[in-house]
Amino acid sequence: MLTRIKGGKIYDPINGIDGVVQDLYIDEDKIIDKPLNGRKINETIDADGLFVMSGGIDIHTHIGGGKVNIARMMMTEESDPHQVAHCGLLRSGSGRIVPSTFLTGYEYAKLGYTMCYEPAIVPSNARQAHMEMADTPLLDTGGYLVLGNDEYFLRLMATGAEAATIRDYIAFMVDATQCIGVKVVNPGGISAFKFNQRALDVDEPHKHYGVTPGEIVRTLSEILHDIKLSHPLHVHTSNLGVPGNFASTINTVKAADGLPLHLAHVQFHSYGTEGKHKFSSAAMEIANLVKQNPQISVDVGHVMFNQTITISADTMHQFANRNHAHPRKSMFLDIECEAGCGVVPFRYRSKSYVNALQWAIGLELFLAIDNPWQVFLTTDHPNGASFTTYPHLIRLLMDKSCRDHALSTINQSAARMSCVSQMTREYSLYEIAIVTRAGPARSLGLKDRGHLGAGANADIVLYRPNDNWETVFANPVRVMKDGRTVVLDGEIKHVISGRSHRAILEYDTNIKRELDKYFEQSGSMRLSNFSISDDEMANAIGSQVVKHTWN
Amino acid sequence: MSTAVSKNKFEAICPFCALLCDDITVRLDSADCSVEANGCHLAQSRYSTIGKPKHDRCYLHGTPIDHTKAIQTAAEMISKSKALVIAGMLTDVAGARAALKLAERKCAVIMQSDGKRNSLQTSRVQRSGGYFTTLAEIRNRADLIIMFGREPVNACPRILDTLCPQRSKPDSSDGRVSFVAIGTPEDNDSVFEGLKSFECSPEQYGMLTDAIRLRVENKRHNSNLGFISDQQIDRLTAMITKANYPVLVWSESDFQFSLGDLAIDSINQLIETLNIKKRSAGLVVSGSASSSTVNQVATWQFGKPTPLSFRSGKPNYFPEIHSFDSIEKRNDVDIVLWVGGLDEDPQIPESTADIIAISHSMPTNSQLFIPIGIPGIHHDAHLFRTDQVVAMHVRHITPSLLPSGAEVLTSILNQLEPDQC
Repeated sequence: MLTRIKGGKIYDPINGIDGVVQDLYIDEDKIIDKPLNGRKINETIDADGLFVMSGGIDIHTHIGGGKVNIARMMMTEESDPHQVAHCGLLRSGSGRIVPSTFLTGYEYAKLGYTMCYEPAIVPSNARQAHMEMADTPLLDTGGYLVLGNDEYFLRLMATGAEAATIRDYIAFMVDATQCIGVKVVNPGGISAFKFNQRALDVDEPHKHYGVTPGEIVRTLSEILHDIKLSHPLHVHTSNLGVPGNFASTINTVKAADGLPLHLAHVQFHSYGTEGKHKFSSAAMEIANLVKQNPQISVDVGHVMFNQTITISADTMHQFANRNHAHPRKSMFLDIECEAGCGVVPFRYRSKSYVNALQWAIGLELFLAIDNPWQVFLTTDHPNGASFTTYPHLIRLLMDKSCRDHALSTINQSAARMSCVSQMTREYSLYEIAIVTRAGPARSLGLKDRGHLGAGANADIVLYRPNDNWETVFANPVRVMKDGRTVVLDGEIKHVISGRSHRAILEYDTNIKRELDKYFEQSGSMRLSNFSISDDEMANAIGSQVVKHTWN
Repeated sequence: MSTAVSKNKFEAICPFCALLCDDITVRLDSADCSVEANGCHLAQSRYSTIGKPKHDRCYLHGTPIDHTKAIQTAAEMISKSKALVIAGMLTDVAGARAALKLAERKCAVIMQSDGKRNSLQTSRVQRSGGYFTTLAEIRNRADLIIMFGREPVNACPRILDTLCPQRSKPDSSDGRVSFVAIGTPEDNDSVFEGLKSFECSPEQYGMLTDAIRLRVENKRHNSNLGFISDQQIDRLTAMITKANYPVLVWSESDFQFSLGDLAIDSINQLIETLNIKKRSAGLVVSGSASSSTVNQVATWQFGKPTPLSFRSGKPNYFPEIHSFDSIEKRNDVDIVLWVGGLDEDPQIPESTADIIAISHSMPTNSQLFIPIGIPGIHHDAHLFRTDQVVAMHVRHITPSLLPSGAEVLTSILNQLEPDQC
């Protein structure tokens, strides 16, 4: 089956193509060069007047795992009014902020996204996370393993274990849990909270293990660099949401000593203490940090004004925020001496000084970070807002007049404390293509995603230009996944399963002997029952595995 | 398949309760199976029956029929149904996925067992949330475990050893972990022998935990509860406040009385109060691994746990009106599809509707019976542990010619006309 997409304007930053009209050719599920004369084209899709990008990639979205399921179960206020009936191809479901899995897949596809990464897979909960993502149709998926608060790692750190031992442990864990990256959440802080330590800054020692978050970040980032994982250490830095936490963010980057890092939902970590509310924007400091450190990238974690639910492994700070819960309920878990989970519903209000400034800080970061390859578009779904707000966020970035209007409707003290009104930058389509697909693909080391060159997977989105960019990005004309049209004019035409992307890493298998003992003594299952095989992924969990190596 | 340690011995994960113990050794000689190491009485009993299925044929009105005919008959019955109820759900992730798909396709109501047991803990989480923990956290960090009632032990016989392995070791007299049992005198049998115990009935758990909470908050020190002295409450409070990580353990089954939900609230409120100054958490023990499993799958696929009604095409969660009894009273059922597997003897409630049973043993009151293998015994299965965090891949012990529940349900689904909602 050979398909031609004819006459579309191509935005393909990885291949340096910025709005050039040209044809694309698809052979089954791959993009190919123009075929040689004589080969019959089976289908031609007329893209005249449309622009074309590769499928969107969300590098940080909470779509699978125990904490997401707790959020779904807790938020009956939200899911009851948002129920969707089963109809034809489409399965039923509920929820808008944390939709059930089928709805998540459908809604992402309708927005032109074809790949999503769950950023917080707790080792013992990895099976569940993969099962949920396997039940999320139309999306390829993957996940980052949460390490750095697990007792085994902290013991290795505390006892001065050899770097090779720690490296083998990390590589084994990524392999055993079918992940593609490693995330550290409040480095050491989740564990410290279990020992009733209520705060932990970058240079402060964990009261039981004696190691500091800075040492954890340095060790993990070194190891990931060493084992050649493409995506650098994905860091949820210390002091989430705490006024003045920009200093912790800067110190975290310093601790990594020039090694690559990805700073997750950096909006929540860009707060100063200026002004009468003792809460101010430090977005410019963080933007400068990014500028001065080309080896780091960030995703923003933008907030939108609405009800949402915050879900995080950072029990220490989620617990501290429980009194802000709306509705008034919250749930916490200590998990398997590995991590934790805090689920706190929250409503961002435009008239609240703090919430309005959080909204503005997100925009400041997007607009002040010059290099779009270093910043990725996220709302940290659902923590800042649902992913369904992406079209509106894109409009805010592309349209200053829209931004100015929005700014006039928020808490005016916050508006005055922000420099958004003076920022004239408007994102181009080329830049939007970078922050929503090309940048994430490059960071994750996905050679056949995020671009439209020969060899790329045929995940392709066709958009119709319009004065209102929100309308454009909310309503792709056509979305193709693996070469098949899955969405046409907002309607789902085919439902196909995605695949799961994982890293293949080398390690000394002798680490399993030591881990066997640890699991026997301190775990609640045997090591042999912990690991997830490719076969289990494909035949029982329900996702075919795509393996990635980087050398 | 489970790992073989010798010709006839296997290391196995036991699927028969929600602890999913993975340290047992099973011996299989032809049709005889026994647990050689670490098996509780439940495991010993259940494994002894797995070698030879009680029924390996399908039956229609008591007459044997072949499998293909049985699937066809089930599909015809379900196709004609206007008010299908899927009950039991003693199954694994694959079985839950298939049954939920069928429920959705046929606008059915789907529930666990007979749907009588209210989801008190789910309601509590939906109202207020909570503070919970998992097995490894308790094993490693709990210095005080307080268990309410006998039901956690009834449901999961090895729970004391799992949570507190030092108890059973001769050299464990270091006093690191204190274990307290709260219950009626009948509860305090040999299982709890040698443990600190306090007498209290399930109806009184709420009053007791409220009294402790008020002491922790320094609000009141005289309770006059009658069933327990103030000195005993003081003693219990002192133990709790002294501990670094007290863990409270209970089972929903003990709270099936009027205002049981308030008693569960009281326990949760005590944990919440303790967390203001120190750490504490709860563990809810469920009997069958299928209970956590089915609720997890239903919640991720539809946003709500069971019981779920798809009568409107949308997933509705109203546990109060979707018990089997209330559906039967409303005459809102014309076919009952019982999905078993992990149950030893299916306890299908009496119904005026025709009953299709997909289970390992044949119930007495089914019109159509299709035998299936036991998840984790005859076929590989994913099951969730009682802490609702860990899903285990339970590999089969012995191959069986019997299909899995998921295979049977999928075969039926494949014979239905698409999109009947």
